Amino acid sequence: MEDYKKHSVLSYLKLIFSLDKRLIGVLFINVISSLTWNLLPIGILAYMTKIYQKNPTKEGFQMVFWIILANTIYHLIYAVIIHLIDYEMDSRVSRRIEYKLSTLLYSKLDEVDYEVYQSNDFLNHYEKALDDGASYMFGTYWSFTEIIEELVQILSVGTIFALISPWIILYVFVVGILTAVIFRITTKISWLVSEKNAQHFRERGYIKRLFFLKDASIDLKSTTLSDLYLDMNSEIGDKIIGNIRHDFSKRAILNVLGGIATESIIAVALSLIAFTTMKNNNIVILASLVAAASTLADIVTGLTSSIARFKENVIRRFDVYRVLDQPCVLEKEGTINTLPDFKEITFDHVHFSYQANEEKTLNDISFRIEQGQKIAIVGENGAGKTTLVRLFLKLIEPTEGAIFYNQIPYKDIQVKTIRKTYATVFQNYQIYSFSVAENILLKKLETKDEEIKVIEALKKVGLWEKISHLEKGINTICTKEFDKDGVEFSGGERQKLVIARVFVSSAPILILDEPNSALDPLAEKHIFDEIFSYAIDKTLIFISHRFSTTIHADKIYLFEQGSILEQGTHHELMLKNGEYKRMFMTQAEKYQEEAE
Amino acid sequence: MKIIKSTFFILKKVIQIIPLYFIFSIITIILNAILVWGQLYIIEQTVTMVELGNSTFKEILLFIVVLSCINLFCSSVNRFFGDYLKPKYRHTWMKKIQYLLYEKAKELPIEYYDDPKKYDELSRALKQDLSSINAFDNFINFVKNIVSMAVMVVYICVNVPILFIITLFASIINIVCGSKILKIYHDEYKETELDRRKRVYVARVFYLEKYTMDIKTTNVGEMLKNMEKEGYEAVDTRCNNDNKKSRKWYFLDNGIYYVLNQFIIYFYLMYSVFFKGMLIGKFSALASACHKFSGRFYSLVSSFTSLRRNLIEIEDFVWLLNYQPEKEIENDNNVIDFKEVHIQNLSFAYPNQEQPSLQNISIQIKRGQKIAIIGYNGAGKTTLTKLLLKLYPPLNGEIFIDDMDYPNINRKQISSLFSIVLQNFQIYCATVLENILMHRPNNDEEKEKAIHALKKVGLYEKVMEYPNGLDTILTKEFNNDGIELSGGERQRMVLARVFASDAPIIILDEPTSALDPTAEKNINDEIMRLCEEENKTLILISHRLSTIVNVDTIYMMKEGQIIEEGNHHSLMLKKGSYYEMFEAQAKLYRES
Repeated sequence: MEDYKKHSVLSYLKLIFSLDKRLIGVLFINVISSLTWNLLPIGILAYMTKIYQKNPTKEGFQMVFWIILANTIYHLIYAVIIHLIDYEMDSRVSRRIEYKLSTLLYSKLDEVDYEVYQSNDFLNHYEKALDDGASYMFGTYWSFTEIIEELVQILSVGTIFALISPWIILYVFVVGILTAVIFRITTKISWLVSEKNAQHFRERGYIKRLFFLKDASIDLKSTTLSDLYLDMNSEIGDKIIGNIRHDFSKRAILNVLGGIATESIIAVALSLIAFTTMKNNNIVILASLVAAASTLADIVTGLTSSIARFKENVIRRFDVYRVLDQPCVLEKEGTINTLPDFKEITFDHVHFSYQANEEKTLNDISFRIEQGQKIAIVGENGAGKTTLVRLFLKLIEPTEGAIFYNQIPYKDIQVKTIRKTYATVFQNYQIYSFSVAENILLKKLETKDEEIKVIEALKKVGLWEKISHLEKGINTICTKEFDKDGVEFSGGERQKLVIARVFVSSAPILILDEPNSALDPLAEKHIFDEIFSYAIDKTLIFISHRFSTTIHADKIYLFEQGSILEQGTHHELMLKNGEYKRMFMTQAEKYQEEAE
Repeated sequence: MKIIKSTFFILKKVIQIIPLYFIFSIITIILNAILVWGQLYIIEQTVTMVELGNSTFKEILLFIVVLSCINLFCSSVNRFFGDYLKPKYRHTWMKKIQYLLYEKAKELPIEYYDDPKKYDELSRALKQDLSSINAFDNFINFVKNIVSMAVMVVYICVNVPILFIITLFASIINIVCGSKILKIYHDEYKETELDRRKRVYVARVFYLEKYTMDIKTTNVGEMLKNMEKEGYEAVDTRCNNDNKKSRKWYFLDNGIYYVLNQFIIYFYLMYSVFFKGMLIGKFSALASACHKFSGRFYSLVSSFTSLRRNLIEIEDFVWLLNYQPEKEIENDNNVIDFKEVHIQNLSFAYPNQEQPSLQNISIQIKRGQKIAIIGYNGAGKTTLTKLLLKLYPPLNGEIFIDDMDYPNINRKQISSLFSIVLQNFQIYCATVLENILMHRPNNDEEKEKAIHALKKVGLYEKVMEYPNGLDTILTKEFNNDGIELSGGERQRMVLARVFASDAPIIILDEPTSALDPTAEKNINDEIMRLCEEENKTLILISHRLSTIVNVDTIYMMKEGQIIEEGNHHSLMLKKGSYYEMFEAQAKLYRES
């Protein structure tokens, strides 16, 4: 928790108020409203009994009547104002906070280095901040308002009492200190328990997700897996209950003591009021004093629970700050934002390891890729191929060595600028709930020209047949998530759709990371032919553990355990009779047999 | 009606699962009612005693002390309940209700995972473990409010009967206006659901790791932000309009209420003081009762609103717990001594899809045979395996195991027949052993089996390097100390399940897509050997034709039908679709 000391409650409140300026006005009006609600009746009561005491006749009643009428009119006006604000508050401001916060968080994501994602923690915090951050902010704001309201009220009621019976104020003060002490202890207990249970909640969350995870459903149905997790879930539940039983009994007793202290205020106040009135024989203010005492007791009780709620909400600010504080290095590095035409990419003795002291993922990699070349990068799983893609895109930075675009070091170029020079199909490609055209362009479809491009691309990957038969054509929404007329794609079709992105891109370098894993052989061959003829002037980097891409490549790099083991054209490498040939033959063997 | 049903359902469940919680909740209602009366009475009586001047201070003090003790007792018990018993029983509820929910989820037909709407229902139902108990709490709160209001009404009316009529009138107005307003918001909630879902979708894309590459390297982030913005603006505008629509009802409600409460009641009470000799003590107690009453009235309305919302929310929960799965056949659970699978004229179409996914499929597989199913994308290969696993009932045709047809074979028997590796396989957050056996190891023999399997897939040494060996937790879901496997290792781990299983039929759907050529060959050889040694049946689905050359029969599928069948050699001679596909792949490996 120490790291987060720098984010005081005050700066958090500032952040909340900065998300929507109207909150200040709403706070102000709420304070006035609470005074109206709780203090006005006491004043009126005192005033009316005073009139009665002095003048218990028709005349006196007339005066009382005007007071009642004025009070009613005031309340009617007040009701209108409060309604307008309350509703603004309830239904719109909270949503606005939510919207503003998510915009803030989304922009933050742009700045966070890719490496940070690799730690599960960051995304967990991010999810929390995004899911609950706004409601905790709103809760903080709301309980803060209540505290202010209650403090203002205590001050005003307190002043009245201080004039008449200062002992009551003293008693309230003592109770206040006592409850504050109790409160400190109980929040500590609550915090400890929630820390203890956080792990169990995480486990429970995973199990719940599992039970509605599509890909797990078949295992759950057809193996004994479900019993394993049902047992586990019950055990986790027992642990949570155990922690609560152990620690909460102490908390509850303390809270009961605190409650008795605050609620005794009314009894003490009543006794003192009765005593002073009887001594001074002054019945006039009796009624209003009693009413004030009961209001005071209510407000003090209210204050303790508002503070509790405030604490509960405000402690969660760290979820948001953990995200906002995430330092960004790589994403902000470099100043160059325009690049000359692409000529070459150079890797100069590049080393990379994901964590210090860990085995290197890439070890002393040097190569040069020139404009127009077709490159195949092959190797076993874990050879470092995907890490290489990340380096190309400046998602990560070499631990040693350097990368150059033409002669410009990567270090000096802004990430956005570098990434624009690539069109990439990732191994874990995704389809979004946008239209088909938007999924290919990854922007809104705006011009006729773009439309033609999209159709052209669809034809090349062999999806045009399917799309053209849809009622809305390329404007059909992908997936049925938001549109029941949406189009669903099979695994192979999804991959084709993603490959279509390459055909509309103007980037000079294309990277395809395992682009063919879900394609049937005929589609695979067809699409490869299309890519090769499309990319005739472009630079093409194929990454694969299949060797079907390698024969036509200008240069092949065979990776093994983070190093380049062999390089050259297919022909050269076959002649070399090394690892490449061995691997190629394992895969080709069955096909070769037939050819012979 | 649905709401009333849900209420009864929740009450019934709470009484069944945590009866003590129910009893305590009832006790708090009663104590709360006493407290409401006590707080009013202590003020009235103290002021009256002082005012009348016929009691000594000692007597007054005694009264205050006695009544305060009653009040403090009631509030302390309630507080203890809320602070200690409530969290405890709520978690007991969570534990037990999750068990019931998951049991049901397991029984649901697999269609619930295919159809987005049904899937939504399912996922909502599972997330309602907490909101269901909240619904119960809200119900108790609602009753508590009604009871304490009733106490106040009685208190007020015993003293001034005419106030009863005023109160009644105010309540009726409030209920009428309230229902009008509720309707407006209910419609809004329903009609803006799509916009709200879009925002959830955007958030999900932003926090799931699999999307980050796209967000960082393409424009997709901007598009999503736009989507969020449009969603927000649509909901906000709608909400603003609805506020305007509901305004008049609020003003009517509040207007009448203030006229009644602030004007008529004060007027009547003061009139009684001036002309009917009402004591100040009584007056102030009644005035404060009326004031508190109106406060309660509002919390009653809001507790009703949240109760209603809650009960609407848990509809899915009620549905899932009430779901009656089809009765399993209770046929003595005999382990089937498998000899052959016979698929006869099988046809199948997914719900809501016109085109059949499978048409007239007939396949016969004997024990020990190895077959392969190949074909273009979307040919129905995976669907066929799903039918074999009895995840869907066929539209037409039958499947027999030996001479038993599928309707007469139960889930347990099916799962003892097959061991499967699916295309979208999962590694679970559990130990290595559990991931292979799919249950907790019961004895050393099972442990040996898992070790054997790990050796077969070439992962044993790697696993032994982990700090906890076979008991190492996989994935970082639970704990950051968990081990994340790489793509190829994941696939090997899943394949190990096959080697550790006793099931006589192995189904592999694209089992080696993430493996490099050497590993692919080794594992394929091992699987073939396993089938031969233990006389197992293999059903292999693959794109890589090189992996299937050695099987007994190849079935080539296209658009849900089998278009060619035979062994590799005969199909090559036929020069049909298989030949064409094989050649296309082979060409990539041949030098021009």
